[in-house]
Amino acid sequence: MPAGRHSGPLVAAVLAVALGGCRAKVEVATLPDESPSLRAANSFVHCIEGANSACVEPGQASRGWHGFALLAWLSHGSPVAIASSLPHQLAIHAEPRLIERRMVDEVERYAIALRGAGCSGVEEHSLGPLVERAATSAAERLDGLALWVRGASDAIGMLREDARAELAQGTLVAMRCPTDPYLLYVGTRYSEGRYSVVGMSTLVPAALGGERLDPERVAVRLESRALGLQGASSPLPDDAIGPWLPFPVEEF
Amino acid sequence: MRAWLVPVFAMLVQGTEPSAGFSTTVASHVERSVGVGNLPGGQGSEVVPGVFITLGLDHLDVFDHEALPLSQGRVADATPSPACRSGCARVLFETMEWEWLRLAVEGATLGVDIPVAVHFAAHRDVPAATLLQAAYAAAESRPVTPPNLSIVTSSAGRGLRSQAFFLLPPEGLLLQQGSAALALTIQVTDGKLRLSGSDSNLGPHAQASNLGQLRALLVALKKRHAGKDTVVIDPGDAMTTGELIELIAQVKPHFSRIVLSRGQTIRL
Repeated sequence: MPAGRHSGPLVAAVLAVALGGCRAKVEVATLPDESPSLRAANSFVHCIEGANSACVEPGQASRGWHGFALLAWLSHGSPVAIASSLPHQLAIHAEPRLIERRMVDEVERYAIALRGAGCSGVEEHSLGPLVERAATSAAERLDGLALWVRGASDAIGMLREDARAELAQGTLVAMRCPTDPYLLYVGTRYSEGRYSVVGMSTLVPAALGGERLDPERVAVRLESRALGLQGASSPLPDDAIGPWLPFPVEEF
Repeated sequence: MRAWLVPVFAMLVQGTEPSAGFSTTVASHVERSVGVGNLPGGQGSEVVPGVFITLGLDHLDVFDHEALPLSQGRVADATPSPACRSGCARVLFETMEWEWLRLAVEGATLGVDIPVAVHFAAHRDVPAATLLQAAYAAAESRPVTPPNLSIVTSSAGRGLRSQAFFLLPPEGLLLQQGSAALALTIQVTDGKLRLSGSDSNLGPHAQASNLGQLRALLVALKKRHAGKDTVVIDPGDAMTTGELIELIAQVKPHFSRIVLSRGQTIRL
């Protein structure tokens, strides 16, 4: 972790003492008293509020973050999705272009909701230990549920290696928002002396530093435009009694 | 990822191999959670991929994680949820709504569909009323439309099977005049099986004391209403899941479409 996390206020205090005798009033701008990774996460979200997916720079999407996200999914996601789409998700993981597309899609999906949501970073977790926890949990789970009998452990090993390589010094920044999506998790990596954002999610398992939403907020989120469920409908036969009884009244 | 690893990774993508079937996954969890041998025995169709909810005597699991404690197979705090039109318990409704949100976020992020099927694997001694509450909670909280529902049974030599059922709408059902619906309903109260419906021969007090008597009544009804396939069963508060499955097994040969109710009624 680079030095200078709390240097802003210190500089301000020194300047204030040094300039104390001067008549002219000098205002010293200071950086917010927050960690560099929190600052990176806040800047990224502020950027989304103004510019949508233009905030995702070429090369910013990270295979390490994608690997961590897939491990988190394997450790806590739906077995239905894991059973049906693991090869597809691994295929995406093998293509940097598709990983970037996924990050851009995620940002675009939440851009409108985040505008005015007032999200700000409140806490951060080191990603290194979370990667290990997710990988261990994913391996145990796939084995316990008899999902993917061949190749899964190799795939988990590969995802862990990718995540380790990039995120060993990274952080998971938890952000709170007064409105939908209420919680936002931003991943950062530390490289060449600075933190940069590598991905985001609105849901992280509790075992990996996430939090369960209040029930009132769950209901709001299910109506969120970002999830695309508003106004969705399923086709029913013309003669069906209704969505609860989708068969003809003649047979009832 | 290092460049030389890319072909290795592609090989892994092609080399991953699914398990023997989704029912194997369900069975793996059910065995650990309540024991497959404790499920009610019965026939049915293949267990298709879907959400699986396991109800034991002291816990309710969604997929493979414990979501809620139960006490003797019942929800300890039965305070109803204002959002659950059937009056299901708040804790159940909120648990299921949270699970649907998780699935919706997963679906949006990974480009996968939200499951359309929900299976209930209940210990045979769990009250049917708890199973029905959980079913209404899962169905009412699902975004868009109610899911396809089933009870998981254990079939000797065939593994787990899926017994499909529907639910009466949470507010009950009002059928228009002239709909010609039979609306055959079996209500279990005080150990009696009371039958009702629009058939004039049923009378206001048609009932059976045991499954044999019920079978005879159903055979006669089916002869008069060959085009009807549906029966509504309200198991009441005392019946267990195992007893409900036994009842369904008697009913299905005559009326193959099972609709369950926890007090919801049909108004003709």
